[in-house]
Amino acid sequence: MGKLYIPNSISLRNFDNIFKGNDFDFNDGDITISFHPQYVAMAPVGLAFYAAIGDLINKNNYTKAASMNHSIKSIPYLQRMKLFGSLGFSDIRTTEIHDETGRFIPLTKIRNGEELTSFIKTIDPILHTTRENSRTIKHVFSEILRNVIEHSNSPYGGNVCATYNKRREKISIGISDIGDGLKKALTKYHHPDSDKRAIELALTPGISGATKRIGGNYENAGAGLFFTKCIAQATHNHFLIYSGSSYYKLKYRKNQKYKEFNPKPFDDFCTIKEGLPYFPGTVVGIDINIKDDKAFNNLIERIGTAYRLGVKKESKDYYKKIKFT
Amino acid sequence: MKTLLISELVGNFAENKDDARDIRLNTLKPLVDKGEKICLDFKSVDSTTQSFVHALISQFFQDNGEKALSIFEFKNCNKPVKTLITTVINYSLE
Repeated sequence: MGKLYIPNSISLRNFDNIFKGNDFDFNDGDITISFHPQYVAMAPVGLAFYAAIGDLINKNNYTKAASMNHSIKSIPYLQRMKLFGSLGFSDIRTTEIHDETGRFIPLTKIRNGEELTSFIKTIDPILHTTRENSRTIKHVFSEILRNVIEHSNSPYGGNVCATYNKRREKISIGISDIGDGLKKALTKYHHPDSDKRAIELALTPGISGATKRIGGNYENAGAGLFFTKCIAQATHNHFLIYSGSSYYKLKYRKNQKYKEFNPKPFDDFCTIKEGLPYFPGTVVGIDINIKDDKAFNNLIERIGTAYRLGVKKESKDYYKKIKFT
Repeated sequence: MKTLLISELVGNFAENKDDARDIRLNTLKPLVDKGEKICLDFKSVDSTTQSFVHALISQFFQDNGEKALSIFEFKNCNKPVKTLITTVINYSLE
């Protein structure tokens, strides 16, 4: 019988907790889920990961059972974030429903472009942001979820959720899918020989699963994950991507300024792990500071320059020749 | 010159690549093929994404090189939109 143990704390910082006592091998068709007996603190990256496990259960029609200490204090939070429903269980307690505004976005499924556009429209009222202050957040949501819709081949689309830490003015985002995973998605044109190599390719500017051409085609530039990683890097936040049996975690040094972004992801200040329990899909976690309007323009410009240099090894700027009126 | 008001087509946050592709293939490409000049008016667009701008215009700069700079005019762009358009054009031109 396959077992899934959910530990007491999962965040980008301590993501490795997710592997404690787990091999994610449920091939015998049964899965028994157990939680830490005293406490379960779970950031969006963890919630998104378990939502993908829920999709895996549905996809393979696994028989499931779960046990949990009902006195755990975080149960209302986990319910409101729709963790239990995502795993295919009903809620444990009847709780008072508070308004979601300004605090969190519970686990939500995004299956196509229309659902993504509708979702993006809900972000400002939910997070109490202005349209000017939420450009970076929307950019990240849109780019990563677009990747899921276009490249993952997941029958359930993507799972997304977020929490807002008002004191630190930081939003934490988790996005997952139970699709092909990065290695298979990149195999047609780039032939990665490992999950680690697939992650490296996915984060390299100009590499797209839709074409072998470096720099992409008419519709894909191979820039979405690179932009997202650089946004985390520039704002001194964590970024994690886990697919197959590898993960890449961007770390940060306090007070380090990134004047130029590195087109080679493994040269970043990061942790790369191989030989992890196999997860047949992709999970992305990122933290973003919310009041970054002034930084956004400059940031996109610098990321764009890094993309251009990474792909073309030259730095010609056509700004003055473009007709802006 | 043909003018397209982007916010009317895709809203205030221009991110839907399906829409961008449709506009490119069904509206922009026929106009470019006829040799018409095009004004993309971003009035009321707060921001956009690199993917959206890429799906909207990159083809014309990849195919026509610097000649495409004389085909397109970008009107009422705020700073974020200008930055993303410049970014996409810069890397699309070879």
